[in-house]
Amino acid sequence: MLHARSFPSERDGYFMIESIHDPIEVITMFSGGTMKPIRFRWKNKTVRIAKVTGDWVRHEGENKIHYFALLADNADYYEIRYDSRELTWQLTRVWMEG
Amino acid sequence: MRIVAHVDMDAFFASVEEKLNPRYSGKPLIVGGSKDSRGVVSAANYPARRFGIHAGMPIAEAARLCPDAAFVEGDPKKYVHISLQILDALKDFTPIIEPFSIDEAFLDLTAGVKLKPGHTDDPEATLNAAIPLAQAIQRAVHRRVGLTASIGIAPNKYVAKMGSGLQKPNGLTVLSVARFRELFEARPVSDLWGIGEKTAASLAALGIRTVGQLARFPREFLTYHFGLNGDHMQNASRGDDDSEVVPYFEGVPVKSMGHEYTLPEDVSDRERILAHLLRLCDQVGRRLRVDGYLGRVIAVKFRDKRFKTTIRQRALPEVTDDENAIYRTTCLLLDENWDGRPLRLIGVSVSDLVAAEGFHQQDLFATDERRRKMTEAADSLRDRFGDAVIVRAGALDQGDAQRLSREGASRSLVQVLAQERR
Repeated sequence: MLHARSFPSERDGYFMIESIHDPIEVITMFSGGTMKPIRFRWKNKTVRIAKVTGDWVRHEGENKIHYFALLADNADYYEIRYDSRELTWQLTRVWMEG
Repeated sequence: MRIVAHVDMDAFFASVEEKLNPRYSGKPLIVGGSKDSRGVVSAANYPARRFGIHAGMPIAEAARLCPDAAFVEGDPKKYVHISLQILDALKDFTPIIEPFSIDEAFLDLTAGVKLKPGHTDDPEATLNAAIPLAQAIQRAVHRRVGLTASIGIAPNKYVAKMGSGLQKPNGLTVLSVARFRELFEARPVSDLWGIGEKTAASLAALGIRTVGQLARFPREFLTYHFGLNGDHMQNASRGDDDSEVVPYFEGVPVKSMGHEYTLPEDVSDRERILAHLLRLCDQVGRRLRVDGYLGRVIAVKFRDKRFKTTIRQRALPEVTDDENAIYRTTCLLLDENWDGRPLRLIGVSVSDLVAAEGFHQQDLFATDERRRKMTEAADSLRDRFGDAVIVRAGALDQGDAQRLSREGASRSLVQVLAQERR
């Protein structure tokens, strides 16, 4: 489900999309006890990650869901989540230039 | 003399969102919900505050004041995660830390401040000696989470808290009691932490408008009018506070637990309201059991479409953590006090809490062994799979029931939906 929303305004050529729950494929680097997404594939497009701006964890019962806030190399912003029980990745939020 | 610091993160939720998504930087940003949501602003960054937007304001009003702002839904788990990282950074400076909320903490720095040889007992000089330590705290927090904090340094918690708000963002304020009195003498009483609009109006009725007037007012008159709170208010106006910084590892006693929910649209249908009420009671009961508390006083809160808020509470004869008992009481309170006008918000809370340790669950559920077992089974499933794995049938609305029916749920299951709320 997508909800388009204006920011700062549509005429400036920006739009925000959130509440996405699309499955994605992610290339991840595991190093020093941490995981770092490198790039992911969404809607047949490859998104290269320039910077992980933050990460946090949500507990759902015994399950741990890892969240990552990412800036792509074209400066689009994404939030993705990794379900450590299901071993699946999802895209949860996007902010991109229109 | 004690040296207490109050560390207050600047526009915390909004700053977290800005840090994660740098494209928000410098633009008005409001955390709390989408532009068309019916909730309230949880946080606004500084560019948004320039439009008069502040926490607690309805989102619709914020959208009217600044239609081009970015509106972001908050994520409490994200903020808690970062809050714990901040707490971890603070632990390097003193073990005596009292987390006061998700974005504030008191630190007792007395033992960590090095006084130079020849130091006098001058309070200002003693507090000033803590400046390098406070600056190191600001740097450490920024290094750890990339966010700024404002700090107030004072000889007690109250004045430190007042100090941290004086120079935001990224401010550092040293405030002795004498300086506090001088600075706040002519300010309105509503500038004091803990004095809201209603109390300020009550004080005005007694001719008290400024902090200085409150400080000089005869204490016995204040306690006559406001009870113990009168005493607290006068202490506040004088910058007097002898409360200790309670370290986090000793635990701060929880006073109440509650949840509230802004309805997606105004609702006057009692059945739908009861469904929401049951879900809230279920959440509160679960939280009490997880955190190990039992409560005696049950309260229901509702706000109608005119924004008139009603809160009613009732004490139970026995303490409980059972959502069914909480639900029955809130239903009674709702039915006795709600005039049927459409509601926009509903909430439930339980207070007068005691630690569950030492109480025998068997006694609490003595009348219904079957229900106790059911609650235990549900809790154990939620412990393993998360809170969303089980939903009370009565907490589903008619739309959910129809969907379940379409998806093949048995007739008897769907019938339970209506029965459970009775």
